[in-house]
Amino acid sequence: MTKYYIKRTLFGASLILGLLVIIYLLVYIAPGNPAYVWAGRPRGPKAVEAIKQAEKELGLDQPLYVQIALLTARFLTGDWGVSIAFKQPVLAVVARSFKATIELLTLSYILAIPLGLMLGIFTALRRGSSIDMVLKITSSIFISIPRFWFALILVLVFYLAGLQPLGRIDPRFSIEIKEVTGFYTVDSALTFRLDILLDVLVRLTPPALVIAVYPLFSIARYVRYSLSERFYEDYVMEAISLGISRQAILARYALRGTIPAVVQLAGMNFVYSFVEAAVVEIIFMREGVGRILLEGLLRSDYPLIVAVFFVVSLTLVIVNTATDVIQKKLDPRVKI
Amino acid sequence: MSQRHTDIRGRNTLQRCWRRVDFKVGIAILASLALIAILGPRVVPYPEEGEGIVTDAARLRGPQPPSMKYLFGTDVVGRDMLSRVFIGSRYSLLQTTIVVFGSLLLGIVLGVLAGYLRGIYEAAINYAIELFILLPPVMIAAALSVVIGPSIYTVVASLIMTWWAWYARIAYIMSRQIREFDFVKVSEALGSRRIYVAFRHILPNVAPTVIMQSIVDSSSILLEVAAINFLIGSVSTSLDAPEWGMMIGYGFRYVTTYWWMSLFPGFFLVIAALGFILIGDSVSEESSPNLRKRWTRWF
Repeated sequence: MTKYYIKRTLFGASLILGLLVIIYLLVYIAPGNPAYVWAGRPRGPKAVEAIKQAEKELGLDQPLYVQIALLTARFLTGDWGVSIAFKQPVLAVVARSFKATIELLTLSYILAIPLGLMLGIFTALRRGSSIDMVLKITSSIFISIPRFWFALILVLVFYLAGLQPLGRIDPRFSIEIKEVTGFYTVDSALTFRLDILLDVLVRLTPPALVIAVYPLFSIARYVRYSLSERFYEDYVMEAISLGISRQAILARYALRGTIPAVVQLAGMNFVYSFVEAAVVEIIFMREGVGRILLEGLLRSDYPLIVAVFFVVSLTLVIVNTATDVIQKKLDPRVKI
Repeated sequence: MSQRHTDIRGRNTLQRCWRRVDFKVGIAILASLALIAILGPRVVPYPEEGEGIVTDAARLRGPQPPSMKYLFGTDVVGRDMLSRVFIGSRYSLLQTTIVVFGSLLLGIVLGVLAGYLRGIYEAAINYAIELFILLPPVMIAAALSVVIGPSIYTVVASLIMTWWAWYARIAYIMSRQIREFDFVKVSEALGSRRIYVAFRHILPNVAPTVIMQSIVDSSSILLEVAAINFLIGSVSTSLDAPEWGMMIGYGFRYVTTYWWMSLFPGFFLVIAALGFILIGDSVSEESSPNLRKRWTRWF
C-alpha cells in the first residue's frame, strides 16, 4: 500500500515537470519574437524598453539549458512576472481569482457527488419503470444544455425578476470582509458575519448549481448503469438466495464495487468542470479564472495566461493524484 | 474474444440501435442539422450576412426583434440571425467532427503502439497520456490564442491535444489484453513484423470499442468546442465567423436588450447536443450485454 502511494506521488511530481516542459514550449514557440509577445505586444515610446525587460525575464540572451533552468526555477518559486492587464505581480492576481474558482467548484462538487449517487441508486432500483424513463429523459436534456447557455438564461430570468445575484460579493461587504484565507465563505464564517455569509452564499449557489449539473448527471448515469449490471452478478444472486436483505446487499456488496469508479469519474469530470467554471464565472460576472482568461485574451497578457495555465494544470495533477490514492484506499486491487 | 467476434459485436450493436426510438430521433436530429449545414448558403435568405459580411441593407435595418420577416431577429449590426445560425451549423458540426476524428486517429494509433510495443514506447506514450489527459483545453486554447491569434484552428488544435489522450488510454488498455491472444502470438511466431501485427491484428480489435466511446463523447466535445468559442466570442470586438458558441458569447453583452442574439444559437446548440446524446446513450446501452437482458427482476 505505502509503496503504491509513494509511486503515485512521485509520478504526480514527474507530471509537474512535464507541465513545465509544455509551458516552456508554449512560451518559446511564439512565432516571431517571444519577448514581444511576453511583453504584451507593446507599442509606443517605451516599447523597446519593455521588450528588453521581457528578454531579460525570459533569459533569451542565455544558452538553452540556462533558459530551461531559469524558467523552472521561476515557476517553482512563484516568480511569474508582472501582469500586463492588472499591473500587479501575476502571483497575487492568480491567487485571488483562483481561490474564487476553487470555492465555486468545491460547492458544486459537494452538491453533485451525493445527489448524483442518490439519483443513480434510485433509478437503478427502478430501472425500466416510467419514473426511470422520465429521469433519463430529464438527465439527457440537462446534460445536453450547454451550461453557459443555461447560466445565461438564469441570469436573464434573474434580471427580469429584478434580482441580481451577480458578482462574488456585495460591493458594500467587499471592504468590510476580513481576508483570512481568501475564501469568502470561510472568512465570513470565521469572523461570525452571518449577513456576509448569506450574501456570499446567495451569489455562489446559482453558478455552483449550473456547474454541478454535468458531474451530477454523469455520476447518476454511471451509478445507474454500473449498479444495474452488478445486480445480475453471481455474488448478488447468491446473496439474494441466502436471504440477505436487499438494503444490506445494496449497501454492502453492490454499491461497493461502484464507489471507486465514481471517485475516478468525479476526478475526471473536474477537468471538464474547469472549462465550464471559467465560462459560467464570466456570465455571473464573478472574479475567477474565467475573468483572468477574459482579461488576458483582451490585453494579450501572456504571463498571466501562462501562470493560470500552470496553476490550473497543477491543481488537476493534485486532484488526479488524490483521486487515485482514494481509489486505492477504497479498492485495494488497483495497480499502477 | 477472437477478432471476428468483436467485429460482429460492433455490427450487431448498430443493428440493435436502429430498433430504438431514441437512436432514430438522434439520427433524425443530426441528419437534419447536417442537411441545414450542407444546404446552408443556398436556402437561407441572406447568405452574405450569414457568413459575416455587414451589408448596407443590414446596417440600415439595425437590430430587430424576431418577426415574420426575420424569424430569429437581427443582430446588433442588423444581420439576419436565421442565416447566421443556419450557416453557423457548418462551423460547429465541422469543428466537432474534426476534433472527434483527429483525436480518434491519434489516440488509437498511439494507444495501440503503447500497448503492443511495450518498453520505452509504452513508458513514453503512457506518460504523455497521463499528462495531456489533465490539461484543460480552455487554457491551451487561451494560450494559443494569444500566441497565434484566436481562430477555429486554435480551438480544434487545443481540443485534439486533450481528447486524444482519453482514446489512447482506452486503446492502450484494450491492446494490452489483445496482445495476449493466440492469434497475435501465432502471427508473431510466424515472423510478422511488429508494426504489421500492431496494425493488422491489434488495431482492428481495439478500434470498435474506442469508436463507440467517441460516439458517446461527441456531445461533450460539441459543448466544449462551444464553451471555448463562447470565451473567444465574448472578447472579440467584431463578430464575423457565425459559430454558435461565438455568437452566444458575442450576444452575451447585449443579453438584456437583444436577448435573441444569444438565445437562438444556444437553442440550436441544445438540439445538436441532444442529438449526439440520444445516439451516444443508445450505443452505450446496446453495447453492454448485461443491460440488454430482460431477465426476471431479481433486485
